[in-house]
Amino acid sequence: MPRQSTTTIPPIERLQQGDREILIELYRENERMVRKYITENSGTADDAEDLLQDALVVLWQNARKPNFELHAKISTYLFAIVRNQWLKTLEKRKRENGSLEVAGEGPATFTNETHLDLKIVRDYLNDMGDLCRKVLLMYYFDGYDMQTIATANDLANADTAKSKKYQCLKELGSRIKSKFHATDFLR
Amino acid sequence: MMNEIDERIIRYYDQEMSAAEVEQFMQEIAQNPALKEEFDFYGKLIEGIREEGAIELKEYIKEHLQSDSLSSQSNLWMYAAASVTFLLFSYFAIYSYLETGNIQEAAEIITLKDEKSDKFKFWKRNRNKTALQNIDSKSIYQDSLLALEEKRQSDSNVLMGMEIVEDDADVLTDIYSTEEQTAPPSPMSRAILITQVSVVPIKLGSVDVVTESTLDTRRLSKAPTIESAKDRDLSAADHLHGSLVNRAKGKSAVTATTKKPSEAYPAAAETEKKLDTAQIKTNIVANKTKPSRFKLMHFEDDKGRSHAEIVKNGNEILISIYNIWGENPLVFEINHEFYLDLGVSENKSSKEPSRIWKLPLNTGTYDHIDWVQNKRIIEQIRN
Repeated sequence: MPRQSTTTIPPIERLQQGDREILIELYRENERMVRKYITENSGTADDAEDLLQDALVVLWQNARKPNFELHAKISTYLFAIVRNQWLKTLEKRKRENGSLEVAGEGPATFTNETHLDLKIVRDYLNDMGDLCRKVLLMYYFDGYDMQTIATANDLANADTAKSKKYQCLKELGSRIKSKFHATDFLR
Repeated sequence: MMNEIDERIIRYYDQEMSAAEVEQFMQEIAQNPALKEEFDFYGKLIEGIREEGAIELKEYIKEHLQSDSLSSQSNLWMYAAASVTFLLFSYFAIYSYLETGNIQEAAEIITLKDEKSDKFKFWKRNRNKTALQNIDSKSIYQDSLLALEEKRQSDSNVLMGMEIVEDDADVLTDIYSTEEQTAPPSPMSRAILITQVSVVPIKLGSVDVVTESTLDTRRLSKAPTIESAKDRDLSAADHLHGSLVNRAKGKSAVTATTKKPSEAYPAAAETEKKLDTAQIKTNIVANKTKPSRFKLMHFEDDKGRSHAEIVKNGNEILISIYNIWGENPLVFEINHEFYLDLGVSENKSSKEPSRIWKLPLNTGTYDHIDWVQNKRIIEQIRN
């Protein structure tokens, strides 16, 4: 069956089909609104840029969830994510400023350590073979089903893809455990 | 052997457990620190995988936004360049209109149909330039040619004379015919015909030729005063078509006057006096058959260097020049000698040749073009 032109497919379907170009279009459509809101609420243009990208990532991940239903326009949905995230960020900054005034660098250090741990995982993930990396990202980040992952990676079927995913996750865990103690890793 | 992952941990994170299974599993984790550690560890792995995916997706968005931005910036430059070009054309068109008062000429400039624009049309340079002789350029000069042809016939007797008479001073025939004629077979068979024009000589003025018998040399003793055509009202020349008048103005066609040489050139008079003292015998007349028409053809061939051929056919002289260009080529007659002026080169350095060739009127091939170096001749033609 010939592929339908992207201009006639609803954006949400394009998201579910894994068409990343729709993210650029959605960014362009919403950047002015988000920038206006953030800059009028103690933020900067850079904050607005980061928040809109984060919101698009959330939309990308949620769009493929089986129970995902969108009852509003995508722009409304994105703006809701941006606003909630920005309120959390403001609250966090306020809290951090207060903590710094009372107790120095405590919370900031904790955040950095957590981020460092995730960076270790990302580094080891990127050191793995392409197939493992793709299978793990397609399943845990993009949220594709096993049949789609099997098709995209020339695997025999969904069961094969599931087995491969299990092996890859175990391999990733083993590699990290060989260098780090679990308790150190999970500080 | 690597330790197997507790299957329940994977099923929990893959959301494959029922609510009851989740509750039971959570209770077991709470009581089993080793299981909790393993549970938290794989939770961290999956969080790291998701973060990697998010970072990669955000990079994808940023990269595409930047490339879009660069693309729109380059479009802006393109629009700016187009605007500047348009303004330049407008400027030249208005300037041309103010200079010539000819709205048609101004329109030709802005549509790149004017003659001067041809040299910028690089896409036409390697083609047979006979295509340049389009209908427009023909129609511009057609009426003028008829008038000039009549004038040439009536003046033919003057061409044989030695002295410029007063009436002849105005006989300036800036002739530039675009009539198409078949080029004769050329020995340079691989050459490409670029343009073909017919040129009728312009009578510039009378210059006495003195022959010094002992040295057997010829030199100019005095020159006539030359007046630029722009100094007089060419529009009053009713025998010339309007378009030709404009063209003549642009080219600054020159004419001779009948002022006495001693009045105009005291230095020349002084020279004449010295020559008289030396008892130089002066022979003025060169009894030649006057060419009635010159035809000029431009060629390009694979030799690259400039060379020429002259073919004489009765009173008609066919000039073929190779690998050298000339804007509005003109033939000038000075003292019964004929000079082909190819115009000043764009590169006006002092080392540039004059681009004026004293035409040999005999049939032959000229591997080398000897450009005129006589400053007075050059000055007469160019001023």
